[in-house]
Formats: sequence, C-alpha cells, structure tokens
Amino acid sequence: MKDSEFLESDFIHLNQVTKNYKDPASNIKFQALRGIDLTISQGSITAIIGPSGAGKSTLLNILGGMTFPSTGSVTVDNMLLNDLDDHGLDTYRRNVVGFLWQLPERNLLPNLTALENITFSMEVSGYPRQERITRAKELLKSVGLGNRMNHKLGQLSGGEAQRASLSVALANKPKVLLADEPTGELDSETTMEIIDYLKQLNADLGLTIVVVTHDNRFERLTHQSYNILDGSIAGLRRSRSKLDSTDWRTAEREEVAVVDQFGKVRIPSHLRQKYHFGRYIRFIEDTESGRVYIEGVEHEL
Amino acid sequence: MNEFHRINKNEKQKSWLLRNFLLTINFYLMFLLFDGKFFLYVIGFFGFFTVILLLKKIIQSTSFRRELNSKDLTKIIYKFLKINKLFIVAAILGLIFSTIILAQIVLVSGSYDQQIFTEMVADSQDNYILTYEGHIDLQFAELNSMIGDLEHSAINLLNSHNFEYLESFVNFRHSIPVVLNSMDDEYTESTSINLYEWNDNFFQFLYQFPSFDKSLVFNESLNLAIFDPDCDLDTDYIYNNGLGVIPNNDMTQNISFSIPVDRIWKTTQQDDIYFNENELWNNPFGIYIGENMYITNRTHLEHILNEYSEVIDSRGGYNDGSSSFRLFIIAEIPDLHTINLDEYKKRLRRLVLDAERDLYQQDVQEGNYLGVYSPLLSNIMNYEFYVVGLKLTMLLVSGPLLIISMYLVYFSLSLVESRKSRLVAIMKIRGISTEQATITMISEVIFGSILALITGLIMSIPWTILSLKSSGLLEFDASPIPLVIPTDFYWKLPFMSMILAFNLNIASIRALSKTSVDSAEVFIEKRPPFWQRYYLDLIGFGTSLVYLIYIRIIPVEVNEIFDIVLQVIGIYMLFIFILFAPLVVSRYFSNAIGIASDYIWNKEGGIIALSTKNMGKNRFSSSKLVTLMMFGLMCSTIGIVIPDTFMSYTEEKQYYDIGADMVLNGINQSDPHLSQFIEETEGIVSYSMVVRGVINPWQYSNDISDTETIILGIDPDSFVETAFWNDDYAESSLETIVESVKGDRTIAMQSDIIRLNNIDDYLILSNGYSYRISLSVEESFKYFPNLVTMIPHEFEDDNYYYGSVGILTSIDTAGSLFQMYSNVDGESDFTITESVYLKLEEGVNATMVKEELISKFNSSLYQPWITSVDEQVSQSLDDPFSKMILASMQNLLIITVLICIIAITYFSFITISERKREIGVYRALGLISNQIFQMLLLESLILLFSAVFMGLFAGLFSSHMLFYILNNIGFSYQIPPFKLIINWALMFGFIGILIIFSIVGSGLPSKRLANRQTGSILRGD
Repeated sequence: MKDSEFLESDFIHLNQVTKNYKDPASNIKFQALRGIDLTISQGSITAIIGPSGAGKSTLLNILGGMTFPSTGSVTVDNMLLNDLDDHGLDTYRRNVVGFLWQLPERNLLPNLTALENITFSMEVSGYPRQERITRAKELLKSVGLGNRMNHKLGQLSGGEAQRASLSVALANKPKVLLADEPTGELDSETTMEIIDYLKQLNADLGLTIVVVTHDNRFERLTHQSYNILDGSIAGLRRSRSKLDSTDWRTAEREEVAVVDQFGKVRIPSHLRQKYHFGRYIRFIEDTESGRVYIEGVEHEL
Repeated sequence: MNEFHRINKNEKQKSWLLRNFLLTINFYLMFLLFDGKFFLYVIGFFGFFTVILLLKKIIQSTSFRRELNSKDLTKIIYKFLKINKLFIVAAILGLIFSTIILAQIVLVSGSYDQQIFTEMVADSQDNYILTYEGHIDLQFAELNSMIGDLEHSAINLLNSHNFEYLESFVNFRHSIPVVLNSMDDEYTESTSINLYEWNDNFFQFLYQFPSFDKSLVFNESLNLAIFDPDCDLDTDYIYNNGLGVIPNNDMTQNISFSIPVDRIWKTTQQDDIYFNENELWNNPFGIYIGENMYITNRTHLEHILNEYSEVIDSRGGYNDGSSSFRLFIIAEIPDLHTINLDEYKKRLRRLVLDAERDLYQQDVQEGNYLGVYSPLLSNIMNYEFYVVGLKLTMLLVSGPLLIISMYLVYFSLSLVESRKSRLVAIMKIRGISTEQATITMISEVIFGSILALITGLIMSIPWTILSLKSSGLLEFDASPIPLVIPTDFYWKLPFMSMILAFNLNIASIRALSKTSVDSAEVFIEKRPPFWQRYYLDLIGFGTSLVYLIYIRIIPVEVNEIFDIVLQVIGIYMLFIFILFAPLVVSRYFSNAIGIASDYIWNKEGGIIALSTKNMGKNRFSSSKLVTLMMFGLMCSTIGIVIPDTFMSYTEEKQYYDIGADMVLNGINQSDPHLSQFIEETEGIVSYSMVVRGVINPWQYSNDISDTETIILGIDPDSFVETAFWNDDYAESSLETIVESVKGDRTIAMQSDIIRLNNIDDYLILSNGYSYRISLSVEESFKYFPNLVTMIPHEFEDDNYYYGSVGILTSIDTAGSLFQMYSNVDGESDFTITESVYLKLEEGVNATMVKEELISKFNSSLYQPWITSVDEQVSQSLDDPFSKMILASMQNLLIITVLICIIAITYFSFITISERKREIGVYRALGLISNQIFQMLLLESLILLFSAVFMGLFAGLFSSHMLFYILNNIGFSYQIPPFKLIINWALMFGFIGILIIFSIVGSGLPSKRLANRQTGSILRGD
C-alpha cells in the first residue's frame, strides 16, 4: 500500500551495498553488509533495527560518510558518496549530516563546555561567524539547557549530555540526522523527551532522521523501519498512521517483506507460527485482485 | 578491523612531501650539531624539493587554501589544546629531557671545544705564522745568505697579506763526523751539533717545563746548553756529542772548539711527558745562544766544521756536511677566540701558497730539501680535527641518554595516542578535515615544544654545570672545565628541540590525522613494528647472546688473526645485544607476566594474581614501560661499572709501569744522604733500591737476532714489602721468587738467555702461554716476575726470539752483568738507571711527599726524577675525553632515576584516568580501599622490579663481556688486563633511591584513587 503522505523523492538510496572486513588478529574476512537496498524519503524518520552484529552501525557509518562500502552505491541528496574525495566527504559530514551517538562521551569533546562544543562544529565548517553564538544558545535553549551552557561533559547528567549532543549534531543545520541508539542510556522520561524533540524537528524543519534503535516505542513512531539481519534487509515496517502520530501505543504499522534480487522473501516469524508454515509454502494467485497469497503445504504428497 | 582501503591518489604525493621535509630538518639537525658544510648542500637539495612539492600542493589543493582561514583555525587549535592539555603535559616531560640532553651535548662539547682551542691554538707556544725548514748541503756562508733571503722574502710576503711582522729566529743543525772505536776497528759515524738562535719568545716557552729553573732570566747573550735526561754529565758527554771536541782525541788534535755555556739544563722525563708533541721539542738538545753571539759563533762554527771536514777527507772517512735549519717567522696574531676562524684560515692558506711559490724560485739541488708551512695553520687544523672527534665522542656517550629521553617521548605519545584517536574521531564526525586536524596537531607539537624548550633551556644551564663539575663527586680529582655558552646556543637549541619534537611526533600526527571512525568498541590492535613482524629482535638477540656466550666459554686459539677477528665481531655482537635485549622484553614481557599470573591465579589467587592479570593483558603498555626502564637501568649499570673499572685499571697499570707507590729515578745509590732524605720524609713506610739496565746483546752475540734484555737488580731484603705485586698473574708468589734471589740465583724466563749471559745459578720459571698477552710495561719488572712475557716466535729457519725478555737478580749480580757488557768493547750500548722504590702510608698525600723529597734533594748535586702512581692517575684522567666520558656516565645515573620515576608516575597517571570504572567495579565487588591500594602499588612494583632485575643482569653481562673482549682482543696489548669492578654500594644505593621514589610516585595517586567513593568512581567523576 502506498502512503500518499510520504514524500515522493528518494533522499537516501542504497543500491546493493556490501561491506567487507578483515580481522587482523584472526585474518578472517567477513561481510558485515550483504547487498543492502533501501530508500529513505526526504523528511521521513526511518528506524534501523536488528540484533547485535547485524550491521546496523556499519550501515549508519556508511550513510555518515565515515566509511566506504566495498561494493554498491550510496546516494544522499543526489550526491553519490562513492565519488567523493576526502574534501568532499569532509563537506558532506559538516553540512549534510549530523551524527548522534549513544554515549555522550562520543558526542562531546572533553574539557569544552556545551556551548564550546557546538561552536566547534561551526568553526570547522566555516559557519557564519556572527551567527554562531546566537545559534548555539538557541539550540541549547531549545533542548532545555539554557542554563547549562557553560557546563562541561562531566558536569552534566546523562540526559543533559545527550541533549547537548543533539544540539551539537544540529549545529550546522544538517539535512539528515543519523542517530545510533540515542536513547539507549536514558531513562524512560528523558527518552520520550528526546523522541518528541526529534519528531518536532522532523515536523518543523523537515529534517530527515535515520535512527538505529532497540526502543519499541521509538520504532513505532517512525515512518518506516528496516529490519536488518545478518547484513541483509530482512523486513520493512511502515506506518499506517498519520505522520504526526505521537502515541506509539496507537501507531499502526504494516509488515512489508523485502524481496531480494533473487526473489527470496523472508516471512516474519510470528506469521509462520500463527499460520503453521512448515518448510514449504504454496503461492496462490488471485488475478482478479492482483494479489498473491501464500499457504503452508505438507511435504507428503 | 581493517577495511579494504580505497587507494588515495594523493597519498603518494603527500608522503614524498613528508619524506623530503623530514630529511631536510634532520640534516639541519646534523648541521647544528656538527657544523659540517656538507650538510648545507644536502639541506639545500632536499629543502628545494620540499618547497616545490609544498607549492604544488598548495596550488593544486583548493581545500588546503580553504583551511588557511586563520581566525577559525586559531580557535580550533585553542580548543584542541584545551582538550588535550593533560596529554600535552605527558609529552612535554620527555621533550624537556631531550632538550636538556641536547643542550648538554652542545654546552659540554662547546666548553671542551673552547678549552682545547685555548690549549692547542690560542695559548700555543708555537704559533709561528710561517716556518721555513731546510736540509741543505751548502757552505755556511751560502747558507747564511739563503736564510737571510728567506727572511726578507717572508717579511715582504707578510706585508702583502696584511700580517704584521714582529720578529724571526733560526734553529740550526749541522752534522759533523765523529770517530768512534768499536771492538774491531775504527770507524766514523755522524753525529750532530745543534745550535739554536733563541729569543725571549722561546725562553717563555721553556718556563713551562717542570724542571726548568724559573729563576733564570732571559738575556740576549745568555748561552744555555740543554741535555737529554739520560746523559751522564760526569763523563765526556758534552764533548762526545759534538758540542765540543775532546782535547785529547787523536782525530781532533790541534782543533779546539767550544762554545761558552753559561748554564746547563738537563731535562727530565717529566718534561718529555708534558711536551712530547711539541715539534720544537723533537730535538731540543743543544746549545741555545743569544742573537748577538749567534753570528759570531756561526762563523766560528763554520771554521771548525771546515777544518773537521778536511781532517776526515784526508783520512778517507765519511763526511756528511749537510745542514738543517728552521727559520721561524713571528707575526701579530689577533684574539683567536673572537675572530672568524674560517676567514683567518683562508688568509693563512693563501700566505702559505704564496710562500711555497716563492720557494720554487730557490735553486735547491737534488737530495736537498727546502719547504715552508704555517704552524699556526697546522694548529688550527689539528684543533678542528680533534674537535670533530670530541663532538662524536660526546654524541656517542650521550647517545644512551638521548635515546632514553626520546623513547620516553615516544612511549608517552603511544600511551596517549589511542586515547587521542578517539578524540580526533569525534572531531572528524563534527567535520574537521584531515588538513585541519594535521595543522592542529602540528600546532600542538609546536606549542608543547616551546614549553619544553623554555623549561629545558632554563634547566640545562645548571644541569650542565653540575655535569662538568661532577667529576669531583666520585673523587676523580680532575679539575672541572669551566662552562662556556656558545653565542649561537640560544638560537641553535630551539631549532634542534623543534626538529626532535617533529621527528618523534610526525608518525603520531600522520596516524591520528588519518583516524577513521568506527562505532564499534575501540581497542584496535595496532600493527606491530617491523622488527617484531620480521622477528629481527629475536634473531638479533639470540644470535648475539649465543655468540657472546660461545666466545666466553670456549677459548678459540686457531691463530692470532682469527681470534682477534672473533673478538672484534664480539664487540658488534655486544652492541646488538644491548640494542635488542629491551626489544625482546617488549615482545615477551606481557606473555611472561601472563603465564606467571595464570599460575598464581590457579595456585592461590589474591591481590598479586589480580595485579599480574592486569599487566598480562598489556592494556596499559606495561611492556613498553618495562622496556624503557630496563634500557635505562642497563645503561646505568654499565655507567656505574665502566668508570670504576677504568679507574682501577688505570691505577693498576700505573703500578705496573712505575713499580711502587712512588719511585725516585736517576739517583745515586752511593749517595750517603739518600737514605737520610728518605727516612726523614714523612709518609714513607719503606723503601728499596733497584737498578735497571736495558741491554742489546745482539751486538755481542750472533746467536740472537733481535732480543733486548732487561736486567732488574733488587735488594731482596726490602723488595717484597715495598714493591707492587699482584698474585693474580703469577704462578709463584713474590716471596718465593725473591727468596731465590736472596740465594744469589738469577731468575729468568728462557734458558737461552741464561746461557747467553753466562749465568751459572739460575731458576727458570714457567709461564702461561698465550699470544694474547704481551709486554708493554716500561719500568717495572717487564712482567718477568708476573710470568708474562713476549713469547718466542718460531720460524722455519731459526728460533727467532722477538721482543724483550727479563732477568731478575740481586743488585750486585746485576752490577756484574753490566760490567761484563761494558768490558766487551770498552763502550757499552745500554742504559742503567738507579732507582729507589717507596711505599707510602695509606691515604697520604703523594704530592706533599714528592715536594718534600724535592726540597731535600735541592741540596744535593742531582735532582731525581720522581713519579708517583697518584700523580700519573690524575694526569691520565685530566684528559678532556676522559672527563667528558666520566661526567656523562654519572649523568646517566641521574637521568635513569628520573626516567624511571617518571615512567612509574605515567603508569599511575594512566591508571587513574583510564581505570576508574574498573576500580569502581572492584569496589562494588567488595574490595576494600587497602586492597585496591595494594593491588595498584603491586602493579607498579612488579614493573619496577622486573625492570631492575633485567636491567641489572643485562648491564652486568654487557659490562663483563665488554672487558672480556677488550682483554682478549689484544687491545694495545694491555697489561694488566681489565678487571670488572662493581661498586655494589653505589649500585644498591642507586636502586634504593629508585625504589623509594617510585613507590612515592605511584603510591600517592594509588592511595588517592583507592580511597574515593565507589559511586563517584563508577560515574567517572
């Protein structure tokens, strides 16, 4: 089903992206990503979910221009990342992408205040000098840290530090925000604050957000969520609710299976269990409705 | 995890730029240290390419131009410094040490440089601007005329080259025939008469000689005769050596020749020692006559020589009528300390070239010689050559210190690098480019270098003064060199320090600026260094250790050359061992600790097991830390052992050379006052008469081709208690040997010598055969009683005895032998010296004893030449090289203590900053503060004691092997051999200080951390 409220253009497009690693200790080569195809529309919030070691963070790093795919192409905002040189990547990281890690220690530089952290991002990117302080203060106020501007990382609580990190990520007005488990370290209340703030940003600024999360609540409030398993897209869930739905409990989602280039489809496990699918299924074609149904089949003839 | 890297097409270009830059700055460092012009050319070559590549990069790279936005860059740099302030402090300490060591190299070598310049050049007594020397077969009148022409020419030359002529004088030497009688017939040989013109300048030169009469005042008409120390003034020497004519000599009847001599000065061996390199002193013996008398006496001499020539010619004898002369030209010399020496040298070279050109016009017949040179220029060039050696020695000796301090920088950088890379990764996420990161890190290096430089500069002056004076700390009794700060010190040192900082940091900067971001947990296993990858450390260490043990245990005596080659290779193997032993420790320390830890853990667990467990994982670079401390301790151990061993060797060698605590040479044993003088002098315990003669018996026998015999006559009653003796090298004790002498037997090494000398009652002592050990001792027993002597070499045709052999006997028997030789042909070709050995009281001041003896002998007809072991040892240690090496050894000790303290403190610092959560978990699990404190302290102590044990062992082994090889290499065939002297008191004191300071350095932070609240630790506050 096509959601007409989604934007038409593909803002982010990954085509058959693979990523190979070699561990120097064991000399073993392995594939972290095995042919990822996904598209993200501009102005959407997309979640990337999956078990540990599935390749979520690798995917995020590729989107953030911090590592290159081994094969495949990555296009963000009509820029083919594969073709960018070092300077191009620097510009991409400065102006197009904002990054938010799970741990505040990875977002904020030590010995610098919250304000200095934000202005640092602006200084490296050449953000107009006269606007830096003003914008930095505005960002901090918007996340509720107006009176904690001159505090350093060690002087902020976990939630405050994460909010400051969010401000840092937004300093240069990025077009896409990449967040790696941004609420993983936070309590429930703060988590919802962050989620609400992100949704607000998305609504107000049309900021495209890609977030890796295990949080069910967050996942249910995104427009779509990709399920990654063993380096491949195993499934897709899309929101049937309106974009401005804020109640994760009432958010309706549809399960969408991903058909890979070989025609393989993964049936979600809860459906397999519910409908007792064994090892074999049968395809039933309904030409009138233009649908194909599946049903479980016994092996014995 | 490594990625499959996309090749960066700019990578190669950048690395060429970096390579050229590094080569340029390092050659500049060499230039600053050694002042070699060659380096300038190389700097120009590489610098040119560096500039070209840099310009190319700037032009090609738009991003680079963008990064030059200075305002933003300044802010970024400021924030980077703020972020990294603790890491800067960590790196600075090592840089401060490096700066201090570099400064010390420059200042110490500069101070010695100035002293040597003063001694060799500025204050030199033979700074003649030009010296003409000739060996000409001419009649006197013609020679006089030639010398006059040369003088005139020289004066013109000086004027044309803007040198101010002062004066000149001539030394003249003419060979005249003297008839001698041998056993077989009468024959003529040539001797020489030396006649010198002298002046006030030369007179001042003589004042420096120890035995010269300082009360003598220069007088232009004064005639002074100078005789060598071995001449016997009581005989006809003055006449037999051509200074006069024997009135009753048949050959010279009717010829009388004499030059009135106002004063006679007989030099001593001491005078020789002081000035044996002075060219004037090559043959100083003769008559020095004043200017006014010279011409008169030269004319007179000419007459005599002409008559002599006629006589010899008529007899058909040999007549060598050649004359040699030296014409010294003295000019005004500027203050050589302040002028541009290179420019002055060029002027002197041009002067010499023109003088040589003028000489070509002189008609010099074949067989004659006439030449010119500049002694001043030679002095300057000798000085420059000497100073290069000095600087190289300084660098070599200070090398370990420099390596240790640089390794400290490298170590601290590697400790912080992984932590810094995390910060750089965050900055990269925020958009910092590689260029910005590089510029930022370079700025950090510059900032740190400036801080280190300022601190290092301030501390280097007192440190250098201390090191120059430190020879007195270990009672070497050498006068300290005054500190001289070169004018270029204050601009040279910043450059050197900066270059050093770049060298050490550049790899880190490159690695960090290329930091990629990885969201996975970062402990990325770094690629091991190349020597580990290719097992070079194991190969080098294993090979060197096996080789050294082999040559130590298994004596190889194939032939002399082969054995020497083996020992020489041993020296190289020793260097390899010293270099690679710490690297092997670096490779295996963690593993070894891990094994120990597992054992302890399985056995009983506890705090020790926990401490060793942490180090086994090598998370905190414990291997590098131990390597650093071990290398320092190894060098310090060597630094403690070598000076003491050399001191002991120097002292013992002097004993073997001299024979006793003090020796009076050239005495008259029949002098009735001799015993009285000695017995009245305070500080003398006993004395013993000795007579020594050196004989060449080949003149008397055709059986031996070339053997010199030394006869030592002793007084057996007093010899044992007075003379020096060491049982280590002898098979028999001195008492046993002297007992034989008492029984009027003669002791010898080979029976043939006994046979040749017709000695009836003798004793042959066996000796230990080894071609490694040979004779070198001059005055003492010639190692006869020590049972070491030259070994006969057998050739195909004859038994060929080579070198010196010795005979020990009583004074009376020796006298008989001397008489026998003297009766052979009426003349003797041997020298006999009568001496007295003195044994001094323990701790007595030898100089005072000597002075008292000299004053007593002033009333007698002769003044003995007195040598003492203490005096000789002091003189040998007064050499600039000795002082420099000894001072640097002492610095090594101090530096190593500081390095180890800092290393342990670093470890504690890392523990505090990186292990808070871990320690919080320990607390949460139930460990109490004391237990955590014990654990942290134990970790530091295990590191320290491991390093101490390994460093000590490696250092002692290296020292032992060094001296073993030196002994066996036939190194100047020294006797006695080197004996390893270990000052255990100093060793343990040094280690004790190290342990105490290290405990304090690690204990305080550990205590502080252990006492903190669990919650705050876990939160990471």
